[in-house]
Amino acid sequence: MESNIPEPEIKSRSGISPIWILPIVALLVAGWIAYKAIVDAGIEVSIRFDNAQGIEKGKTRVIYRGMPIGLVKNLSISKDFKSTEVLVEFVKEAREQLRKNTRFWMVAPKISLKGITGLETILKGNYITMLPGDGPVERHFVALAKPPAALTAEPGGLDIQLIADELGSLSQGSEIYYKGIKAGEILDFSLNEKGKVLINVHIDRKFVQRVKKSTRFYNVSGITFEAGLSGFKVSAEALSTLLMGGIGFFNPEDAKSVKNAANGDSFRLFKNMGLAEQEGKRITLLFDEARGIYEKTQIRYKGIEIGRVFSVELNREMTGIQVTASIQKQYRSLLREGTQFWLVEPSLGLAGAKNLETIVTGTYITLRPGRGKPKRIFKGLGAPPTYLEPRKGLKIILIAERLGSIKANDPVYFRQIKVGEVTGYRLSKDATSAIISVDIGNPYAPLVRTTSKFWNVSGINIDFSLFKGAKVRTESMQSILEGGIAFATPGKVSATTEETKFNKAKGVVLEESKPKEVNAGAQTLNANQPSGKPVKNGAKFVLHNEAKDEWLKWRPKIVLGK
Amino acid sequence: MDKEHLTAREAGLVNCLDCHLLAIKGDGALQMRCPRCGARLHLRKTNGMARTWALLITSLILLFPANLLPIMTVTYLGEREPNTIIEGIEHFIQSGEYLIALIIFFASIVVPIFKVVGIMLIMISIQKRWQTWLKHRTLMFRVIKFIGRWSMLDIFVIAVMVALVNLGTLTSIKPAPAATYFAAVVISTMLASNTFDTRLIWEGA
Repeated sequence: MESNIPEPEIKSRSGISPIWILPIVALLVAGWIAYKAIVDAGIEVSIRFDNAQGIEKGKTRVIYRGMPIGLVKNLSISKDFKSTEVLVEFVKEAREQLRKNTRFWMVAPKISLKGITGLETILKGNYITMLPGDGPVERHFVALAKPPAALTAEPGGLDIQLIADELGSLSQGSEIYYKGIKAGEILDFSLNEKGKVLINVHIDRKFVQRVKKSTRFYNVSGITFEAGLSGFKVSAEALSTLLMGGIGFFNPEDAKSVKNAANGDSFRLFKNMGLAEQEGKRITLLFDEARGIYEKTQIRYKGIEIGRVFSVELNREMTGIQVTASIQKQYRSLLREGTQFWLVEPSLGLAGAKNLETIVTGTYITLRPGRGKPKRIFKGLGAPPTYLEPRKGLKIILIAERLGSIKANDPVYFRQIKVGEVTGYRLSKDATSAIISVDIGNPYAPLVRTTSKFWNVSGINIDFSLFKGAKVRTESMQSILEGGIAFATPGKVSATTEETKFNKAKGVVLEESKPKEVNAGAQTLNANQPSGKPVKNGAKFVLHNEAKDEWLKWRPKIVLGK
Repeated sequence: MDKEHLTAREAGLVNCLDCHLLAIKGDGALQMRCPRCGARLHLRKTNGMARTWALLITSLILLFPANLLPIMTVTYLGEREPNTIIEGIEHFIQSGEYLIALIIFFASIVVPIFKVVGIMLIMISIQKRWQTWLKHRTLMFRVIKFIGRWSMLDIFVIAVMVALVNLGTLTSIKPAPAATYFAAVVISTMLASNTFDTRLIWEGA
């Protein structure tokens, strides 16, 4: 190369080549991506599962309220090979929810008699779900083996506990019914230290108001079949309870004033609805013997069934029978001090058959209500009570030489119509006469005047007379067999003497008063006004052994009461 | 190495890189054109080193999003499942498709990195005026240029998959952001290898 050729002046171009824009742009883009990645970074949380079955790395999600909020990033087995650690990355929005009491569990498809749940997991795989809790922020959790008690976590729902002797056919997911409508379900159950079964129940929000402190829960599992002489009854709740079991509840009638139940309250679970209804409303009847009284023996009042015998057992001293019975709530006001219970049995007697229907329907217990304070324990009588409780009718007292065949409940006749009843009898204090208390029905009370004559109609009265022939006089057939009392009231004559005599008659007046019979016969027949004055309660009369002929002819007009 | 060979520059000649005509280098001329084909003539590619470096750095940066972001999203039964390149390879290994896994691994991971790192090494060696392994470096560059055209394989695979696997909600495949970055990496490395003047390797020799 010759050196005389001059070298060109070489200048390096100043400035930066525009090509450098490329790496700067790339840097900006990558930087932006990195920034976004850091800002949007999820929260990594480890959850310990007993069993990672169905969990797949990069696939299994954490879904809360249908929204995926986390993804399983990694799976590893613990060092002791007893559990698995699942690393989950949560979206950053979940940051505040991952607290100490947050609970996680697996959702897997479940096919049961009640239905199919978690169906979406068949296609998409199992997923993990959670229930946010409180407490300090936490990054390590232990998953639950099954959905937690407060699974639904429906705001406003009610979580309560039922205590039962045995679980029966109930299971997790068994439903709770209120008037046949699904009102909740069983979340889980466990045994307590005392060996009772604790059942955690969730009540749906809509039914929270229905659960009171006094609400009674009962098992409705299966069918109840009840058969008896008066027919049979089959009852079942919703069909699913036949298979899955179920719980029903109701409120006792006085529940309106009771406070609503609160979360965590405990209730007793009754074996069946009957038991639940009877709880706290049972009455105890003490009978001498259990003859004719069985479980389910009816308790009737005025022919209407108002309750049933629940159990019959010997009392502790083995001296009598303790009958536990339940009375329907609307009739509970009958249960007062003074209420008398007795057994009604079929009876065949000279006067006819009584209570024949009990041959078919079985014996029943009936009662006569008292007026005292409400009461729960009563003494049962073997036979109808002899002394009837005071009635509203007119109460008078008859004084007789002898009682004759008169008994309690014997009828009192006026013109052969029953207008009253013998309510009892006793011996007078000086034992010289029998004192019979009589109750005249209200409308018939005006029939009794101070001049009225009472006589015993028990048996047959036969008069023999040579001239008149034989005369047979009776009241009704029943009175022949069972005895009874009849009375008559004379028309207005000059009967003042009788009146005064009766008013003065205190104590024993066995001597027959002798009315002036001279004109009586003709005059009384025409007399329209009854003689004497109306009587008050406690008025005393003589009970004659037989009626005089003219008594039977008395026909005054008397306006009956109401 | 001894100065055995006379270079074109020393001989005052310029080689047209398009039609390979040897022309006499003009003096002081800012722009030279091939008298036969009209292509621009350079003694060395203009600003070659700077451009190569810029493109290399660009591709180096873009390698990160290309590999860390999902490259395609497989929707299977409505479940969207984004996959990065590595995850895709894992899939193929898990399903026993080792050959495909190997090809994708080479085409998508080994080759781009090899290209970037390889050219960088050559560049550094030039700037440091290393005088060893000259032939090997040239060989490496030739290999880089050769495989460069295959590194778009990944993008082709995605393009074909997107077209083929499109069964509506049942299964479908969609390209994800990393596909764009990956294509950018491939383009910028190809440009880098193009702007690089191999003659620089022998400059000091």
